[in-house]
Amino acid sequence: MSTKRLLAEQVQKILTPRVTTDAKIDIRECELAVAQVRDNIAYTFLTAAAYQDELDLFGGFVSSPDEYTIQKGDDGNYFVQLTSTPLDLPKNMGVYAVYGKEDMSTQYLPVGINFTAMFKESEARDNEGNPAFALHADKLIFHGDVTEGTGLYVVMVKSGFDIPSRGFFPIPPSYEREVVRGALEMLAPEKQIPEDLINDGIDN
Amino acid sequence: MALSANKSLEQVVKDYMIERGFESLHGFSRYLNMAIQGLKILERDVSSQVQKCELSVSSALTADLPSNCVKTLGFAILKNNTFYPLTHSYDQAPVGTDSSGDDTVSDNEDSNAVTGIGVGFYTTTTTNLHGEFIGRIYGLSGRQNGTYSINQAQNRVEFNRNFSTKNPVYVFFIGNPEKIDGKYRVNEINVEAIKAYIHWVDMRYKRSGSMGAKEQAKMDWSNAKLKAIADHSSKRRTDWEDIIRKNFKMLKF
Repeated sequence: MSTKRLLAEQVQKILTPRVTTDAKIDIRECELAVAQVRDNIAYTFLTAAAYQDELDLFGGFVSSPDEYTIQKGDDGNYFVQLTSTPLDLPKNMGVYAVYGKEDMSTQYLPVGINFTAMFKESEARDNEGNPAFALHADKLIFHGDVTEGTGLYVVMVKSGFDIPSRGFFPIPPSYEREVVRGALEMLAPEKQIPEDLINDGIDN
Repeated sequence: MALSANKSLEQVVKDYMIERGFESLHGFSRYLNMAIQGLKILERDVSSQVQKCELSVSSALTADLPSNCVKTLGFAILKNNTFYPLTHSYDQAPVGTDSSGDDTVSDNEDSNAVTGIGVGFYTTTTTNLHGEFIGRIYGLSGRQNGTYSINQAQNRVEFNRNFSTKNPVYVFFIGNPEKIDGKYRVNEINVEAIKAYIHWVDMRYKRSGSMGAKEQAKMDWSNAKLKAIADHSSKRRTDWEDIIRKNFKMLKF
């Protein structure tokens, strides 16, 4: 299983073959680069997939489901406060699936942020009785028949920044090489800058 | 036997998405909206199932048409378990509105019509059809049961001023589909046509789609509709028999 840390270590070793504790390129920088390159690949690949209707290709990029509970806001709306950021994919596909914890066949339908206004007079406004959600910034706002306290699983194409260093890193194995290459391209210019060992505000 | 509606529209939309290779439900609402429009067209053009409902006639001799009524086929009164048709009058004076906003019936309407039990003769006036005088109508007609005209703007039917409200009045119409237990149902024969309709509408607005693909999608929808009509036609006779069994008589279509 690939992790963000493993890929970052590979990048660091290529850039700095003899890694020491005071290595110029820090492992955290490598992790960040790996995460950003992975997000860029995911965005490019999945956007093209979405527009070409090749929607079975998302599987390699989704994270493991996160557990949430539906809450009721002061305004009467039902919502879930997300703890991770989904990628900004077309049709909000960054939030890939939301389903009930008790009954996995209860799927919550993804709808647009303006669903209520646009479907106000449409016969499809109640989604045939199925509950739905819309992504509003870092919240999922629910429509339809939902109950406070209901447990949910949320499956997302998460931003690489939110993926733990040593946890599962969702990238198809065939794209790992692209991630490493991209991170190297990003960090290589930094390695070529002469090291300033004395902290005196003067390049030397 | 009435046509059976045996698949939920929701599942038809999901079937379409599965066939397209979707593995998530993004866009479901959009496709559902298209599917409902397709279902309406098919109910109107293909299934053409006649719906009927009893009307509530006001003291001003008007009645609101059902909200899902697309096209009225006829009106009838129910007397001794038999439907007696009413006649569509093209020259009936409209129901007006008095100063208090209540509906009123004009006094100068249909004064020459002879009504009564048995034969109804329309004696002196000429009949106006869509602005064209087509001569006098003599002989048997449904005028003895009453006449009506449709007020499209108000979505209501207006009856002649001598109309008796003692018998329940029914409207027979082609209507938009209605939900059963909160869900739209689709006749199995119409399923492929609905999927073809969704695909065509989806393709129609795609900027990236080629003209050839769009034309193909349009043709597929047209063919699917024709096939559904052909499949339905074999059942149409049984529908008529069903209607006849219910003492549905002399209704003009």
